[in-house]
Formats: sequence, C-alpha cells, structure tokens
Amino acid sequence: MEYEKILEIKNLNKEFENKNGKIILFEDFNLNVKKDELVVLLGPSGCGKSTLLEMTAGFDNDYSGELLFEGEKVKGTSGDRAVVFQKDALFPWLNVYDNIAYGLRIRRMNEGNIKVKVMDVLEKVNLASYSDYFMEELSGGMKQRVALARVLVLEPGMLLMDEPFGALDSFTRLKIQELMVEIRKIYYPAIVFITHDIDEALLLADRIVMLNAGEKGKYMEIIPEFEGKCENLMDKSMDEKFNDYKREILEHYSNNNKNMI
Amino acid sequence: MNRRKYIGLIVPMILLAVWYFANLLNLVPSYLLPSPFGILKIGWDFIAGNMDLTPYSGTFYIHFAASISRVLAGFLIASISGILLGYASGRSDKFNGLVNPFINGLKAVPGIGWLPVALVWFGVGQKTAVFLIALAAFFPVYINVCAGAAKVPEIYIKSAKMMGASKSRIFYTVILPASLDSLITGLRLALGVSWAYLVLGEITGVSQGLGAVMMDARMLGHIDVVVMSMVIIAILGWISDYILVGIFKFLSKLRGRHYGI
Ligand SMILES: Nc1ncnc2c1ncn2[C@@H]1O[C@H](COP(=O)(O)OP(=O)(O)O)[C@@H](O)[C@H]1O
Ligand SMILES: [Mg+2]
Repeated sequence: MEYEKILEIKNLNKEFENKNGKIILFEDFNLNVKKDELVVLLGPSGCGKSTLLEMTAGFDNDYSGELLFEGEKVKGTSGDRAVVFQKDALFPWLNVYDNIAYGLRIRRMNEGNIKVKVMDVLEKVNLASYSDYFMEELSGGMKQRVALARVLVLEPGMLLMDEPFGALDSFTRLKIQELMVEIRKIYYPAIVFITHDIDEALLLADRIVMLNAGEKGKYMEIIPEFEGKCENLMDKSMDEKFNDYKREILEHYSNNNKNMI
Repeated sequence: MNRRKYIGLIVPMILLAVWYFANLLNLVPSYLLPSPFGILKIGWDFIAGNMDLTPYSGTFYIHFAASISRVLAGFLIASISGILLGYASGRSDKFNGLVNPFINGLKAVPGIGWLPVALVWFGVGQKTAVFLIALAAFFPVYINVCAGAAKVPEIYIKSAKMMGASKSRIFYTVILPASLDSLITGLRLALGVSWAYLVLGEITGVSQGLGAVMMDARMLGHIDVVVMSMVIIAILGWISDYILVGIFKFLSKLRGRHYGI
C-alpha cells in the first residue's frame, strides 16, 4: 500500500502532571508528514518537541487523539520508525560494526548480507575504515554518523531525529549537515528533525513547523524557497532569502512568546 | 600497564623483607612467627611430601580438594541466586519492593552469627561450610548486580527498542553487557568472601580442608603450618580471582567486546 502521508497526527492531546499541576503540551494538534519529506520541528526548549517524538517513536503511549504511521495506529516501537538521539545512545561495548549490525541481527538477516549492508552504509557516512573502533575512540561527529548509519541500515520509513547535531561544534555540525543532504539523495525516509537552531532548520528543512507559537494546537509553517541555485549549504546560508526567513521566524517567536524566557 | 603490575609488588616485597629480617635478628621468637623460608620449605613438603617435616607432609591435595569443592559450591549457589535476584530486583520496582527489605534485613545479621544455627541445622562438615559461604557471598553479588542493573542508562534501552528489540533481547544484549562491570565486581567480592567463610566453616572441626589443617596444627603447636595454610589460602584466593577475571577478559576478547573490565 502506498500512502502519500506517511505520518498523520490527528487531534493529539498530551499533558503531564508535575508539582505545579498540569502542563498541557498539545491541544488538538494536527500534523501530516509526507513520504520523503524532511519536516523540522522548531521551537524553544520545553515546548514539547521531544515529547512529540517519543510518542511518534512509540515510547510514550499516554495521549489522546490519533497517531497514524502508514495508515495504522502507532503501537510501540518499530525499526521502521527509527530514532537518532542527541548523543550517548550507541552501545559502548560494541564496536562500530556491531552497533550498526544490531538492528539487522534483530531481523535475523544472515551475517553475509549484514556485512554487505554495514560496509555499504559505513561508506555512505565516510566511516569505512572505522568498523572495528569502539565508541570511546571516536569524536562526537563520528559517533553521530554511526548513530545515523545504524538506523539508515534498517531502511526505515521514517527517521526521527532529536537535536542530533546539537552537541557538536559548529564546524563539525556544518559537515554533518552537508552529509545529511548527501544521504537524502540515497535514502528516502521521511524525516522529522527536531532542532532549536534556526539556521539548521533553514538549511535542512523541506518544511518548518514552528511549535508553541501561542496556542498549543496551532503552529506556523514555513516552506523555505531560496532565490539562487544553492548547490550547497554554504550557498543557502548566503542566499538573500535566508535572512528574510530568519527574521520572519525570530519575529514570530518574539511576538508569540513574550512571557517565555 | 606492566609497570602498574610491578608497582603492586613493592609493598609485599617490603613486608616480606621486614618479616625475613625480623626473624633473622630474632626480634620475634620463631615459635610465634617462623621465617619465610621455613614456611616455604614446609609448604613444599605439604605439597610434595618428600621431606616428612610435619604430620601434614604430602596431604595438600586432600585438603585442597575438600576446600575448593566447598568454595566452588558455595560461590556458585551465591552467584546464581545473587544474579537472578539482583537482576530481577534491579529492573523491577515491584520485585525490589517485595524482596529488598527482606534481603537487607537478612544482611544485617553478620555471617558469623549464622554459625551456631548452621551447626544445629547441618551438623559439623561440608553442608555447614557451603551454607556459610553461600550465604555470605550472596550479598555482594546481589547488591552489585542490583545496583548495576538499575543504573543501565535508559537511552541504551530506548535505542534497542527503537531498532525493534524484544524484552528478552534487550536483557541479553543491553542490560547484561551494560551492567557487566558491576556483575564482575560483585563476583570478585563474593569470591573473596567465599575463601574467608571457608575458613570459618572449616575451623569448626571438619577433618579435611585447609581451615581444618590450620585448626589442627594450632592444637599441635605447629604455628609454621598455621602460617603456611594462611599463605596458601591467600595464594589460592589470588589465583581464583585471577582466573575469574581472566575468564571474562577471554570471553569478551573472543566476542570482540569492550566491557571496560
Ligand atoms: N515524563 C515527564 N513527566 C513530567 N513532565 C515532563 C515529562 N517529560 C517532559 N516533561 C515536561 O514537558 C515539557 C516538554 O518537554 P520536552 O518534550 O522534552 O521539550 P523539548 O524537547 O521541546 O525541549 C517540559 O516542560 C518537561 O518538563
Ligand atoms: Mg528535547
């Protein structure tokens, strides 16, 4: 079955109890994500981005409303909705190869095919010669590439990425953002990409969803379209429209979140 | 690495030298503390039996076999029950609430305090020794395993889940390896405790075992044999620890794992 919309979120309501009482994170929230689309969820810390991702991934089932993946209700986790966490999520007792093979072994693929797939994806993330390295021997950027590889190898329908480059320095971040663009020419999962970095959102997104713009169920969308050809991310960030969008986003947040600091 | 190993020899060497010279200069009468070389000679005779220096000449293997079987039996019972209960209690709040208070209460009774009741229940001999060892060695395994299992980072478990791992697979491929260092710490402490309680179990009047030799020699005024038995137990304790750690190192190397043991 083919679905144009791979993810449909309908009338989602989500709240938490804490010491100060109830916090409502989502109220009649609706969002669709198309196949092959990269949607950035943008918003200040605490607005519920990670919570939305946890529900979509299937970690958190305590909500009302509907969360449909490929037309079916999300029930629990599945390698088809894979997650890239911000950091420290790789298994330090396994080397790079075994970390990436982990999900394939769950699928009982034979070791010969696993080897082909793992070496192939390592090539794609430029880590071909690091297969026998352990996590403590890798830099932050390399580890995030391993984290990307271990989910890409599963060929998931959707990738959920929660501030995946948030812990990296800006040089490494630009490199890995460029790698993301390259990767998307080879693998075509729908991607929900969380960030609070406006530049990152503009560089990577097909569509930007700006959360917590006042009411919890509503949000503003931006579909960035640039003037020039923009062959790489550098071009994009220098494009004249880039700063227009940035201003639009910043103004939006300063108008709607006056009492949020 | 090697240098660290040699540094560890400095203190024992100094003590040995002090012991040797104290003896040489007759600072301590030799019927209270025999010379190190005297001990060495008696030890050799105890093992090889070719000099007939003491009534125990050549009887090492009988006593060794009796002792090692008690240590192994007690240690195994302690390890298996400590591992099973430790993981259950470390991973389940309910189970923890059920058994932890009881186990902590039990722990409050010093191991030696069980000796009289053990003698009543099991009589003098094999069973009492094994019971005391198993009981005393259980706690370090249980406590370390429980703590190690409880503090496995949640993000590892989430990672396994999002790649599609089942509960049992998560246990074997995440919780177990992530808590292995705690498990080994617990087992090593337990092994040390096992040798200590072996002596307690054997000085109560069993006929065979290194503890029995110690007690018997004391009554016959063979202080050299008492000290020799102490040295042999220390060496066996050290060797068994070395073997235990060696097994884990060997297995992790064989499987290409990196547990930081
Ligand atoms: N398990 C939880 N229990 C109670 N409150 C929570 C829980 N998880 C998150 N929250 C609260 O929900 C809000 C949103 O959290 P989160 O989704 O992590 O935000 P973001 O990822 O956008 O920074 C925060 O105020 C946080 O304190
Ligand atoms: Mg977050």
